[in-house]
Amino acid sequence: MIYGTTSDRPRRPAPPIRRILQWLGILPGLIFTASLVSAAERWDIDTLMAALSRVEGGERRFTEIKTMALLKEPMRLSGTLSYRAPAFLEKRVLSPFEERYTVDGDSLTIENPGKGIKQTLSLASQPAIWAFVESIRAPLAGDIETLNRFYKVSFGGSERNWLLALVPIEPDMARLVRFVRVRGSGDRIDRVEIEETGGDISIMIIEHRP
Amino acid sequence: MRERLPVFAWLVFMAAGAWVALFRTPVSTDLTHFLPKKAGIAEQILIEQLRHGVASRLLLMALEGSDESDLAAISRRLAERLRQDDAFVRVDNGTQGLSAADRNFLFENRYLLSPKVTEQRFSPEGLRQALDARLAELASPAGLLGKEFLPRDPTGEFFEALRVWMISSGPSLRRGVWFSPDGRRALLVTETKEPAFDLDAQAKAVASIRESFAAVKGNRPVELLLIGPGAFSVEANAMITEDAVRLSLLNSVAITLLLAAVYRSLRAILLGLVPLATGALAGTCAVSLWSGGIHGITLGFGATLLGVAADYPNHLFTHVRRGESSRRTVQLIWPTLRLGILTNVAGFAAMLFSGFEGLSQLGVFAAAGLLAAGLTCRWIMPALMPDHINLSERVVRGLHADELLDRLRRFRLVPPLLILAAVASIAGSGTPLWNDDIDALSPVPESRKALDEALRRDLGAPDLRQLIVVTGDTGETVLRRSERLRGILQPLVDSGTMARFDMAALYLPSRETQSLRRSALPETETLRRTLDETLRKTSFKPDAFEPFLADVSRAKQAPLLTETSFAGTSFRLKVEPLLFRHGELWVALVPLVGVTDPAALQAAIAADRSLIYLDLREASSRLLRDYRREAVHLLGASLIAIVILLSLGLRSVSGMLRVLTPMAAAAFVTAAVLMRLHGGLSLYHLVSLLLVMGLGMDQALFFNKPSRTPEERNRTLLSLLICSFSAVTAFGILATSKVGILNAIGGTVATGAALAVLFAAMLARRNSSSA
Repeated sequence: MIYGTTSDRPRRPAPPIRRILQWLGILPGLIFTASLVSAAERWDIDTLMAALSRVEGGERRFTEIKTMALLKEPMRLSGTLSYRAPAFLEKRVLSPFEERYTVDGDSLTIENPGKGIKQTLSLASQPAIWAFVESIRAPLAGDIETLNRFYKVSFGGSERNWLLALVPIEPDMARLVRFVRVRGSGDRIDRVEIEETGGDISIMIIEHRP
Repeated sequence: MRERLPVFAWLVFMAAGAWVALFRTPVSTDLTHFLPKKAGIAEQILIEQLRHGVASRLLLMALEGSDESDLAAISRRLAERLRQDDAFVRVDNGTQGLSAADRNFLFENRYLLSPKVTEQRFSPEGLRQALDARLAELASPAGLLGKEFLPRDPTGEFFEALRVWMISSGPSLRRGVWFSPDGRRALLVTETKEPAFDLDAQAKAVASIRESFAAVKGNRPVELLLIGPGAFSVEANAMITEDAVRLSLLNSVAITLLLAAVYRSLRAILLGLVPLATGALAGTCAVSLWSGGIHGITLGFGATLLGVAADYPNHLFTHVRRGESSRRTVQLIWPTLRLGILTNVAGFAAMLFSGFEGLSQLGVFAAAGLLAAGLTCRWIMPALMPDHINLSERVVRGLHADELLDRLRRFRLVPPLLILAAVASIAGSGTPLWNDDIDALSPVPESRKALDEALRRDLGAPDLRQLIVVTGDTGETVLRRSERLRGILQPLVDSGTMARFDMAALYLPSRETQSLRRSALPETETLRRTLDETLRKTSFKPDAFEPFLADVSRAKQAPLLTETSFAGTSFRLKVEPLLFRHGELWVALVPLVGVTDPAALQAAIAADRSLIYLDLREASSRLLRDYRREAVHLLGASLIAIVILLSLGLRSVSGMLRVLTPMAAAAFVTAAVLMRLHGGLSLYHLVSLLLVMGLGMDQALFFNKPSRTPEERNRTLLSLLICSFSAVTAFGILATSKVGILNAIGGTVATGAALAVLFAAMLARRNSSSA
């Protein structure tokens, strides 16, 4: 999750060491270790989604670098990203200008208080934007069903460094975006990369340290 | 042989009449027959809109009863199927959006179509603002969409042109199809090729929709709601036909049983239909020859008015005495019958002078029909009748007409007093006597109307109730006037006097406006210099907007758009109904939505004579009111004709009062009762009251017929009892219909007929021979 806030697993109290039982104690220890190993190996997309869906929400800082053919140099945006399960997502740009994008359920609101702009549109009426929004929101919610609806999803890596590769299947989106890569570790999302069909690239890095 | 001659002539007439009626008489449902002959342009457009307008061809569909994904899936598959069907011009459910051709058209013509194009737009500040805005868009999630157009359109004119079309883009989308705001109903709209009044085509379209729905629905628990003028006419027609067939079957059984009990002869019962059938045929032929066709409403109302003719054979049959030839009987009752027929005919003849085609047709139908029915009764019936009508002597003797009438005569002051009471009641009710609301005539049930309103609201579809009509000599004039009107209407929208308006000039600017926009575009070199200057201060690359320069220089040479430029795009469907030729004139319709203050609106546009404010519902009610008023005025003329004929026929003031009073009392009392029940009389009630008066006069004439013997008076009473009993039965059965029109006619005539015979009996002349 972007906002990995689950606590560490509780540690078992050390069993009292009794000489007579010491060798017997090795056995459950072995079994316990073996099960940990196999759990780590079974870190597949279902495990990932389950872990992500347990995260209630939070707020993180982000930095986004957009490299575009039309621009002299890449555009650097920074601000905060807030999520509340299951469907609220807010991206607040603080620099180089202030703007706020809020997705809640089906509505997307673009707000720029400085220019007095407030625009709301329905995601369902703009399939390309909807698909785009779900490339971040669906992983946050651990919602594989929605992901599968818009993308061909492939998964790779380990618990500590996983990768979701999303190739758009929604036609409007597929015309504009080649793929989206979401990277993370455990229940946190660290990085979202988007490559457009025209070659423009956008990379968003989510910081998990305060 | 001499007595066969009329029968032969009659048979020839019936055969020829049947041929004319069946093969040479188009039955129209054309509402223009209900226009005054000197209708204004607004009335003509009103009728044109009701007949052919887009609003009259829309069928609205809602799917409900299952979850969102089911409804969306069925909506898609239903729309796909219907799009294959020739009966529909278009099928919308939100999936289509703008086609590639549409987008291309808007993009190519963006500098003519965007309302934001001004010189300022291409000045250094203008370009600077535009580029800053585009940069912010690139940062936003929506930026993805506009990016492909950016190098050619940095000032965003394509989106400005698009926005004009998107304002009226309809309801919200869920899963890519239209849904009601609460998400419970998936919505679809179709436009049929044929207008709403073409019942066959509409019935086919409705059947096709239901069939397709059944096919795509499978076993999912989804319901289809279907509304719209066409669907309503089909439903109403089915309902009226079903009720009419069922009730007339019931009627036939009841009347046949009644007549069988009295005459005990199948031949007599069948013969009883002859004058009525002859009358209906004669009426149809007369109207056909008079105006080359007959209106459906004339046929319906005319057949109602002919109801008087059903009494004629009864008068004849009951008066045949044992051993007397029917020829002799008919001679005896003919003077009375003749007076009744002539007064009725005179009454209806007044309608011939109506300024409404529909009303004069009705007059011709009723007058010709009654005349033919009377002549049949006089000359044909005796030849066809059996020598002997086997009336039960017990019934004839047992009636004791004289005693009964003597007893009723004590109440002779009741009818005149009731007239006064009825008039007082009508005057004191505080509501207008006539209900001219067009809805009162509509056979569409309230629940369906409510659904219609709800779906229109959900769809954001204008109901085309309130319009401003803009006229001019050319399309360009009308568009310029529309643009000026826009300047008047926009402040009214801002101040809340109305919610929205639509006009062709929004989509197709006048050529004047287009050429202003075109000349606002800078020369290529000027634009290049400004752009280079501006780009230096932004993060866009210096050569990012080369395609923009090329497009603007092309747009400066581009031809202006005309009414025909939209061919090949779906915008044609939007613009054509709003801007069209009407004879010599060009007309633009400006539909208004949610007008809260019509008076303020009318005041705002009053200064311009080329603008006409039209409230379709109010205007159709006004037409109806004019029609009804004329009918009432002509009724006054009829009464004068009737009084003159009666005075010639009866030669006595008291005799005339005995005939006119019960007729008037029956009409007034019935009208007062209807007023109290319905809060106003409709056109249906008026026609029914005409029948009541016809029946009342006929009965009063027979009650006052000179009679030689008590037996003859018994026979007369029997005849009148049969007549009124069958009228009350027949129309009483009709009154049980759930269809408004049948119910109104049935209830009115049944009440009126019962009162008429009672009042006529109270005022019947005392016969000296019985004393």
